[in-house]
Amino acid sequence: MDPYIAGTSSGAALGAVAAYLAASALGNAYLFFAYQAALAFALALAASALTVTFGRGNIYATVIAGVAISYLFSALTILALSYLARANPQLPPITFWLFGYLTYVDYKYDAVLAAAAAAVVGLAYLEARRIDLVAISDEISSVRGIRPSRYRLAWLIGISLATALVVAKVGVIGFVGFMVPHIARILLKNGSATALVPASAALGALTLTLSAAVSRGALGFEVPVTAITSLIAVPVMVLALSHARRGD
Amino acid sequence: MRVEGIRLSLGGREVLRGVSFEAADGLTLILGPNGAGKTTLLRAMAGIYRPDAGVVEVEGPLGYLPAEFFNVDMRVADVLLAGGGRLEKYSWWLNVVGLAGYEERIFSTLSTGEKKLVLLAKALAEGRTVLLDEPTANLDPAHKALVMGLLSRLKKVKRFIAASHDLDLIDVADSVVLLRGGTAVQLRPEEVTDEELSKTYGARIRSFRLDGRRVFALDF
Repeated sequence: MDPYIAGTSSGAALGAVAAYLAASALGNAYLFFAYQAALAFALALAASALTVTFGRGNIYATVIAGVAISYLFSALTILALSYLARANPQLPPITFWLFGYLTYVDYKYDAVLAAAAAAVVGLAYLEARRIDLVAISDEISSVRGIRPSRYRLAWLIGISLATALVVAKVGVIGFVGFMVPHIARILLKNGSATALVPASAALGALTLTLSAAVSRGALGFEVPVTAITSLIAVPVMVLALSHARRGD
Repeated sequence: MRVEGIRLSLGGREVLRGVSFEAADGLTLILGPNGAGKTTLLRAMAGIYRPDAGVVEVEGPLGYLPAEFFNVDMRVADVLLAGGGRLEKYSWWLNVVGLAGYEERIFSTLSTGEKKLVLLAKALAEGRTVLLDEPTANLDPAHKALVMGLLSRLKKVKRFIAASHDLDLIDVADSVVLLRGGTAVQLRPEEVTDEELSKTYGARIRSFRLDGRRVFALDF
């Protein structure tokens, strides 16, 4: 599940903006830096939890719930930012939070993000066989000593944390988490996490780097990264859907 | 392997109201109408559901053939290796179920019968005791004959507990558990008369002997 579609990213964005709101209300900039990622994490987790709760294990219900939750949190983010923009004109523009900008990243935070990414990818690779089993059957997982609902919850928390760290710094970048595994799946013709995790990590880094390069210069002016990743995502989505309909 | 006085509620309804039975070596068959709690009972034995009361004594390791599973687009080898293990062991069981050389095939492209056999091979490789949920459902006659033949031969080395609607499995069973009204009656296969079956299902069921096999007819 892509954090963008599940509402996780929108939750994280609202959390990061809420940190701004709190810091400006209390007039304490230190507070903002200390709690931004934590608040982003809390709301990212809340958004994912709401999506999963409303989805009740049904894939269609989950997607619809994710879209609704995304819009809800985006709307609250717009409200909060419109209010803040009046008081603090020096804040990054709304487009930054809603559509993603890589420009504000510095090397210290890069190190944090690289560590988080390495942890998530590394853990997912080590756990790939167990992730596969939970994808196949709750019953078989259970006799092999995995509690499937707890296992999914643990990943939800981990992914929400990683998403919050990213969104707090670069805003909401859409569709990479959705599109990249699908491309990997089509290229490799294999949906096992053992193949998808390393392939998605490599392909994801490549896609974001290329998208960032295009978003900054190719059009002659700078646009948010999400505009580029979404433009790439649509044909991939269509391809994935026709792929699914053929039943292979 | 023993289940003693299990009570279990799902969604506010008490599905199992004190179910007891013993699964000795061989094949124990659980029969009962739709919604009687067959799958619930298997899941309780697998540890997915925690009973409100009662004891489940499990002799592991357990294997599980689920009635429903996700149609994943992984290689058969990845499906078998899901959860961990060595491929040689799984390939050996893949041979036994008649799917030698299927390791590189994509699971989602297999037929219903082949998918079931892949998961049966996985369950056999993983368990000394194997829980089977509807092992013969949705199979064509050839695949059903294959699965029944496998169960009747392998029950000498594995302990099977199967939940099913398929009365033909009575011929393969060493013990039959009839689930009705949330409680269980355990009988030897020859004690499962047409009257017992008719009472269990609330339908008129008659059977005949043909070449030593029991053949069932349903009045409607």
